[in-house]
Amino acid sequence: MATYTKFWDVIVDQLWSYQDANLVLDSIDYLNLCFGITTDHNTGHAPCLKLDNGATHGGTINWDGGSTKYLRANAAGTVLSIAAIDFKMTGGYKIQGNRAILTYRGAPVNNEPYDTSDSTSIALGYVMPFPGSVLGVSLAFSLVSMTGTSFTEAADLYKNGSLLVAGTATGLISPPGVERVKDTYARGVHTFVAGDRLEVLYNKGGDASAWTGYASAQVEVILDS
Amino acid sequence: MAFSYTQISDYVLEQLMSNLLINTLVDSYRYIGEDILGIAAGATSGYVAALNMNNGVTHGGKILFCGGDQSAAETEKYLQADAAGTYVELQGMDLVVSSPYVIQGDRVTLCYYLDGVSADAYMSNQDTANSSGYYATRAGSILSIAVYGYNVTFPHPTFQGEVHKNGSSVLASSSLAFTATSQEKKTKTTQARGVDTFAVGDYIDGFINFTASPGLIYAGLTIELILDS
Repeated sequence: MATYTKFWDVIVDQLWSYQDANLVLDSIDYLNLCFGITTDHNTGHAPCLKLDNGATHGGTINWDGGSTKYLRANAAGTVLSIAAIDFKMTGGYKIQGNRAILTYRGAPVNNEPYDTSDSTSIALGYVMPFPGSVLGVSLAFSLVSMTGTSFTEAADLYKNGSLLVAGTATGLISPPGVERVKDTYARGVHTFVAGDRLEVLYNKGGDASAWTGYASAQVEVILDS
Repeated sequence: MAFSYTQISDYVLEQLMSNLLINTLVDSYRYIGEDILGIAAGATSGYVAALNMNNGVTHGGKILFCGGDQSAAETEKYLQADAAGTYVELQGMDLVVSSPYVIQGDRVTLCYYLDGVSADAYMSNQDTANSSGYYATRAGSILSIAVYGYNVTFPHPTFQGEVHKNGSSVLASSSLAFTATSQEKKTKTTQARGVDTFAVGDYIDGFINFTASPGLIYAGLTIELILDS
């Protein structure tokens, strides 16, 4: 029959020494630090996950049991990228902050019209379903013929009939010929709200008194919601 | 009465709280951190360097938000890789990319129409030889072309839609061969990302290419792009 000696509590306290207790607490703190969990957080949910490898990237979540499919911040913390795996949105949800391109096509152009109305006085345009801002305007103008010695073209962007941003003019175009120009803007600078109308006006420069050409303009927008 | 106890010799303590026991304890925490939670080993900075995820059966890893409960699938809010590792899905929430940041890799479309064309023509300017098109403000790839046609005349034409980059065809749809007037036809062709690429300053345009019996049609053409930056 087995026998043993029962230690007094004061002896047990010595056996489970403060060094041992600290070791256990340090181990717990290690996990808390890694997950950004406050010491009194005991709900069963991690409120925050702090990621960073401190050298080559700003933190990685590897999917599918490997290291090639990941969600990763770059070292500078400027870009969060997804590699080797698609990103999918399902159900009734969407990305608030994706882009669209509004396509305008003025053809033929022999005056200075708004694009969608083909009128020099009536601005129509596309009605924005969500708020956002303009990121880019590009224009290609194909000049077929002109009377005069110089011709340039610009695509001015109008919001609700008022000039939002004037486009940069193309270089001089000699008929027949095509010139292109593009402008980009930071997000949040040229903004619009839901219901605003965005219209392009073709704006001629140079001394040409009569001309015929074809305009193709694209407006890159980003939708905030 | 003064409290007293027996002082146990250190060598006895060493035996009782053995290295084996301590190591077992530490290993338990490492097991939790590395094997269960997937924290890459050596993360002692207060940050996880890498989190390795995979449940090995039904999905390739999952992060539940808002106190999600895996038993309440219909109400879950999560970021999850599918079991095949083909996509990461955000479910139950919108994804918000707030200003001034953008998604480098979202998709856009160029939409063109021609209300009457009877010869080869670029969609942006209806010119036969000179493309205007989208003067690209970003680099990216062409993902698809979709084309629609309505035939007006006899003999019945056949045409295909094409995506032109800097004036040259890079992606074509299948042909639409009309067999009657007032007939509608449509087709689409997709392309993998990274194959038909374009750079900032390239110009992308749609093109109607009659391959037999050019005649009057109405045409719509959509080009899907993915922007890299």
